[in-house]
Amino acid sequence: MSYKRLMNRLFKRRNQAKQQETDIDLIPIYKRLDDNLAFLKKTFGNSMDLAIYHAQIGKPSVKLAVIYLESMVEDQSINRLMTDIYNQDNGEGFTSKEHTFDWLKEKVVSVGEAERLSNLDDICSKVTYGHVVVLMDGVTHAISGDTSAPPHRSISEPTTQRVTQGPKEGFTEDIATNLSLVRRRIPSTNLRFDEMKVGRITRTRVAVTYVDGIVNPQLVAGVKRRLQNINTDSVLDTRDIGDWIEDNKFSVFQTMLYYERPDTVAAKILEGRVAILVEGTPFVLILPVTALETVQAPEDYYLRYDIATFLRAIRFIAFFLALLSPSIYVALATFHQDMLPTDIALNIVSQREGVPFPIFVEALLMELTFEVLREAGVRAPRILGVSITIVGAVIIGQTAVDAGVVTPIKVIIVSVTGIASFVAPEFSISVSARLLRFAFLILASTYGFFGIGIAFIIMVFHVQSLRSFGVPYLAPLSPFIGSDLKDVIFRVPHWAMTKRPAYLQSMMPRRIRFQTSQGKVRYDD
Amino acid sequence: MIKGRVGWVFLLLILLCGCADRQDIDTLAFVSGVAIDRMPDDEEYQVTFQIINPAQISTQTGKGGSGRKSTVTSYTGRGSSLSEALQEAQSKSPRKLFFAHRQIWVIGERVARQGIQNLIDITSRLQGGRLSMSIAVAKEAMASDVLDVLTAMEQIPAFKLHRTLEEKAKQTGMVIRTELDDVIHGLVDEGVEPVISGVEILGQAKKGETEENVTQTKPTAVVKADGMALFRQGRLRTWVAGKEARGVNFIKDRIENTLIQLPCQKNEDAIGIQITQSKAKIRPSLNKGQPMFTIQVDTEGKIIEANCQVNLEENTEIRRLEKKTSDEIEKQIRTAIGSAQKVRADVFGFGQTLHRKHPKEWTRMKQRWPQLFKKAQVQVQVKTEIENTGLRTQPLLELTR
Repeated sequence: MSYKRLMNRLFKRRNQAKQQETDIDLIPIYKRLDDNLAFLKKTFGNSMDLAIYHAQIGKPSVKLAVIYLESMVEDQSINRLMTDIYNQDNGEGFTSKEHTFDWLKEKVVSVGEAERLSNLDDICSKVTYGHVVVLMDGVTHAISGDTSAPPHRSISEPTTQRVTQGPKEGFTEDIATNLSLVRRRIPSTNLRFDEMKVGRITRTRVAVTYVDGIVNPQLVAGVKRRLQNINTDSVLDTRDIGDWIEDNKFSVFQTMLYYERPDTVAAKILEGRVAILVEGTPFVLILPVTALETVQAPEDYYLRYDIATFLRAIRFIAFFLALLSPSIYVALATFHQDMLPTDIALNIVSQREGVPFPIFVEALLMELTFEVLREAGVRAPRILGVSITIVGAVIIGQTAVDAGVVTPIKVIIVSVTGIASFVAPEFSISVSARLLRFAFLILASTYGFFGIGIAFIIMVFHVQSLRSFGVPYLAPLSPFIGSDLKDVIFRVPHWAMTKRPAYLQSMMPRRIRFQTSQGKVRYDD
Repeated sequence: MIKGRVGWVFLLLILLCGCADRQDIDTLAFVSGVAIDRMPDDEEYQVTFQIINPAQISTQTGKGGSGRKSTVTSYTGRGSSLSEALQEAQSKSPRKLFFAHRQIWVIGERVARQGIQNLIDITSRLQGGRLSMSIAVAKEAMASDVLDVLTAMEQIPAFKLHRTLEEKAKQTGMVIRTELDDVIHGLVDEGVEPVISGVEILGQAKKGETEENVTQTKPTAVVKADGMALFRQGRLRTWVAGKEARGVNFIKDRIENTLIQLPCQKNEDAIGIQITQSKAKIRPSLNKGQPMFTIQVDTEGKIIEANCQVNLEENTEIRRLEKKTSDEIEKQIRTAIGSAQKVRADVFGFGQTLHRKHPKEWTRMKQRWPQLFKKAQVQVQVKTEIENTGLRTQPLLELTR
């Protein structure tokens, strides 16, 4: 049984468990106000933030109720609305209920986004989003207005994807802010945010973002289809969505990327990709992506092309260092001692005098210790972070060596591996390297370089087989697309990036329009 | 994910094969040098393996306990063949003898005179063996004594020997750096014989093995690379040294740097010319069925010393010196050929060039080649160019007068 089948058996295939809920009848608004209020109280379970204010208006007086969630609304608009209603308490001229209703509607419009609701389910959902709802006795309609003011933090510099040059804004948890951050960068009518709601309980707002006319419509349709097929009751982070819609769910390589930077997202959707913004998280999902995109840092585009290209090369090397350096050391020291320069070989031997563990065990222990330290550094309260660093550095780096438990060269290898894994601009690729290096380590200790070779071949096979929304993961290297190499291994100057990546099959493949006349290339200014 | 059957195949591949060749690096004994001797009136080889003691090499402090130990240890094994001797030496060592690293094999003169054919096979067959390892012949000494002389400059005696050979060959051109590869070609190929560098001990050999030797500024025993052993049919026939040896290197095109001294007026060796480049070509021809060889040597050099009255500003003077240098080189080449012809050892590969140029005639001649080589006529054409005169032009003597 393959791993995949095993996983599917363990976690029941979700398609079978899928339930259709859209057919459930919607409850209409009752004629009597008290019935409606009783229903709402019951539905919300008398939640402490549910506020219901009663008022009477017009002559003959009509009972009405203002309903909202204290935790979700902005006080000012509510106050304004309430003042208006109470001031009209004994007002004349509201002869009919329709008239009163219209007047109310007018007042609510001034609050914002007034809507006429006709069933209790809509009322519930509006209230939960922080809208105010006004119900009238004897009227089977309700009016809602947008008074929502959820708490959100201000825009700050992203913490995960930092740059020294370039824009410093980062997304926040508020989707409206995030939408405006993207829209400000692409003030075009072609920028589309298609709203979808995902999660039965959370009904999280998800915006499928793309630039119409550039993106391939099939891609958008595919993304939407997959989003609709998500069958979960809660979506709290982009990862909740990512795991559901990813092509290869059992790979250590991620076929989608998460960005915290609006400038990167804008650049990606202008290439013809799709971004998925999710309410409540600053991380935005970009798809499709390829393997080589993981070595592109946002900063590459804000630096000159020469240094950017060099930095990319460094990142490539760092990836392979993080992946292979422990296993290469083990292979050399347990199988291929003849390949080491004599002085290094002697050095290793002398360091190993008195070390109790075999080379492989030592390597494994050290790598695991490093992972523990790293995790401690991330999880520990920030105040403890420094002491953990000191304890880690002093104990591992110095005392363990002095005590003769580990060899200094192994400490060097672990440090190199660790530092190299921090170089990856994209967290996901360093995760692959971190996990895979243990597989490489085990194979290296059983077969030496032969094992590393086998592992590498398997890895390449696997990566080659991956797809990200139909795009081969290794594009443009395999399949080879020459014109796309300009932004993969190299970062050519911006004026030379004349075409969008071909593997995205954009509707508008050219980025720069130019005309050829009499054999001369003229850029179209 | 790897699917189904392919996945199982890989899994089996991993589980079924063991880690057969696996050996941690600290279970190995690194052999830095091997000395092959034979006692007089003894049928057995006596083989000494010099093993590095890594704890003493390391630059680390505070490891391996107190007190200085020797940087190397020697294990000796005896046997009628090298493999037998190796077995015996291995039985004395706590770690597996490992031959893959830089090392030198020293052959005792007695062994060399009796023949080295039996030694070569194992050296090239040995796992981890390198074709690039150095080979030397101990001149008038036991190979093991030469190998074991401790020195202050290098921690490992074998490496010292190796470097001395290398540097002397490079700087003076009076020894030749022979690697296993060269020796094998010399023994196996038709029309060429091996030539191996010599090493000797100056001073008291036995004192050289003690710590004392390292602590003195003037060591009691010093190892020196000197001379070349000319072989025929796997046996050492004669030694050449000094200018003769330089001649051999000129013909074999192995000169990197060397010194040619010229007399000037009444002073012997007054002018020193450093040869910085040399290119040699051997052209075989047949003269009425008799092999004839033309050796053409093109060299470049510079004046590094001039202790007599010569006008080095004059072009004609430089030309004259060039001519004299060429003559001197030719003389050295001729003596080298003379020595080789005397023992019928074609170490220059004359036969090989003939084989390439006239393969048909070669088949007829190869049986009698040593005799033919002895009688072969050789023409030597040397061309020298003096590139510069160093930092000054006129000799200092010229000015003091």
